Amino acid sequence: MRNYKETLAGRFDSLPPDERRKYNQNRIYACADLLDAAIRYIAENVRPDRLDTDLARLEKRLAKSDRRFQGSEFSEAFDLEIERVLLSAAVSHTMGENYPKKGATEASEEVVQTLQKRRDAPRY
Amino acid sequence: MRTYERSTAKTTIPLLMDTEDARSELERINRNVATARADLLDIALSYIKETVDSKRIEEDLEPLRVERCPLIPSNPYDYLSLDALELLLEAVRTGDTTGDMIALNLAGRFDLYVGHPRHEETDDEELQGDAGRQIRLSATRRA
Repeated sequence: MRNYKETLAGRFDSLPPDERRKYNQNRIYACADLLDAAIRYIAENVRPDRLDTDLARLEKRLAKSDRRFQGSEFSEAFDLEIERVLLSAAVSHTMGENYPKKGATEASEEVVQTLQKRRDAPRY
Repeated sequence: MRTYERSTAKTTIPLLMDTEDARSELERINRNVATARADLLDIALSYIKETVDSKRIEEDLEPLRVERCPLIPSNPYDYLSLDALELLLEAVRTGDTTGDMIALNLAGRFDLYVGHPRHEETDDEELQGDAGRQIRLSATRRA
């Protein structure tokens, strides 16, 4: 659980800039806490073989979709990337104790880095 | 998928130069990370709905649906952890909300807990900002 900052919520529109900043920061923390809860819930409730199958299916589709990252289908292809990152995070929670676990922070940074990498990829 | 902003950085490592440009770049990176979290959360909601039996979700939700409005919120995070799972599963169950909306709701609950009318802050309140540390709110019970 992340550290939220006390704000004067409930009157967002009239908040001074510093209070708005804290309120937005709390939303970002909340998103991360919810995402951590989601990753754990998926890891605990989805059968490992189903997770592995879905992850393999996504990786296969992504391997074939490099061209789509260059065109109008970018959003659709990028959604596949996001799902791949999510499932790989869940899979990391099903591994042994010594295996590094991927949480909201690592997953979101991976998504951003993947986006950067895809946008910088040479055009076909 | 939400709109991401193009940034020049390859990673989220903070920029070393304290200039207006560097600060703007860091802001863009942070916004992109926040956007990525919201996107991941939306996909997670869909995936849980698709893969987890609805009966199981109801069973998991049942014990979470209790009123958590503490008289002494010595640690609001204890409640927020439960709230996070409850809001997540409710969102999966109803399927009519987004990751952003439940994040807003969860952030609002923190304010509800620490700003509860029965909560009275004292001088030894300590508020620490970084992840991994604890917020400590001293409170006294009113009759």
